Amino acid sequence: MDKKLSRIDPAGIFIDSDGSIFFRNKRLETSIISLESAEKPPGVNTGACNNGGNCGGDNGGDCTNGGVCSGYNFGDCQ
Amino acid sequence: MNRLYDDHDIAEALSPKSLELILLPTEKCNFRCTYCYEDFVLGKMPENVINAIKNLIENRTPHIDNLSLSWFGGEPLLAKDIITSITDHAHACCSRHGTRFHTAITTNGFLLTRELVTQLCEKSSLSMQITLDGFRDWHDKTRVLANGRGSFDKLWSNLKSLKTLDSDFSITLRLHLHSMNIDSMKNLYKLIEQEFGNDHRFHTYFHKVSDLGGNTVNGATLLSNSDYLSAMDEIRGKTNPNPDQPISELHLKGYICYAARPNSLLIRSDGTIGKCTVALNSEKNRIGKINDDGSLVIDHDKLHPWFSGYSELSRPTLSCPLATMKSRTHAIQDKS
Repeated sequence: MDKKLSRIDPAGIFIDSDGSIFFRNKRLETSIISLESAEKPPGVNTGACNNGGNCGGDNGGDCTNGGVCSGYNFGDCQ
Repeated sequence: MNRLYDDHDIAEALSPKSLELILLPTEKCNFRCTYCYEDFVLGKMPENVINAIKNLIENRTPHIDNLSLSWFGGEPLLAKDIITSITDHAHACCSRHGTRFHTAITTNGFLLTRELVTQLCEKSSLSMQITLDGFRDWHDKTRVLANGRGSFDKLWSNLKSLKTLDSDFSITLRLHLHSMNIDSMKNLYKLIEQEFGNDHRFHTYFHKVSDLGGNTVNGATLLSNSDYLSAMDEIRGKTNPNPDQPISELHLKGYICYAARPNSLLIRSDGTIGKCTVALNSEKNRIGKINDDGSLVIDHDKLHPWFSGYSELSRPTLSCPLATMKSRTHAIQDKS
């Protein structure tokens, strides 16, 4: 398991008046953005994963969605 | 430390590139569920709050990759005009900036129409969550209309009507379980499988009835976790083939509650900003407000406790920060 993000200071997370999120630790902020936009490791699907985006969830059925599927689905992930 | 999260889960929860707004367009409800914790005091969202939310969306969409509007209430479909007005605006903003746009609705389903679903599907990807408390016999005892009448038949006919649509939506049928409605749920589950089993847009998800406050839940009917697991097996007629397969809240792995995510904000119908949809009237949950121009006033001293789970990546705290905050308050009260 990757451990780049651990022991994050809750008091270092802010929401600006324009609604944007920023972090006191700028290196952490950069890591978050790059990790979040990186391709997620494949999820565990008992069916096939044929989606056009990323599938990071654990799905009980086939995953064929057009976007990112990061949820945990009882049935197919569409 | 209970390390069940990978970096991607954490990064997604903290990402400044996503924004989820949980919007309460009205806190009134056409139902009076016997276990409900809400007080229905606040009415429909006034025009200045609607415009404030539109301004916030307009200001943020150029800077984010994902926008999600989650409609909650009260019963959000009592304010369909507000839902469509803000959705249309968000769709226009997201289209201009190439931002992905998702809409979610937590509804009792009574006022759900084909027209609304079609309209929302044209603007965004759409998911809905509708709760059932069992087959007609039990559902009509607990999920009653404000006039005291049952709601099952109307809800079921609405669901069947959505099945005939071509639109691509997702409906989660949330099945509330307690010790008294297991047989009734078994009958309902069979019916759901018959009617919707071959339609990939319909899903089921169990949820255990628990005491969220409001003095309306009879503690004697609450299930223990082991009884709850057995009941789910009995209802589904099979044991869960994969213990990690999430058919209920007990099966979720790596779940981080929206209240623990900095990129998720609750906006009540009066413009108050909070984190949690359960503790609506808790002072801890009043973390700020939205101004008419869409700018936010945030009290960070109240905001930061909702993020406390990140310091140790604690599963109980990240999956329900409210529960941890409550238990800390009790511990402090016990000491004093």
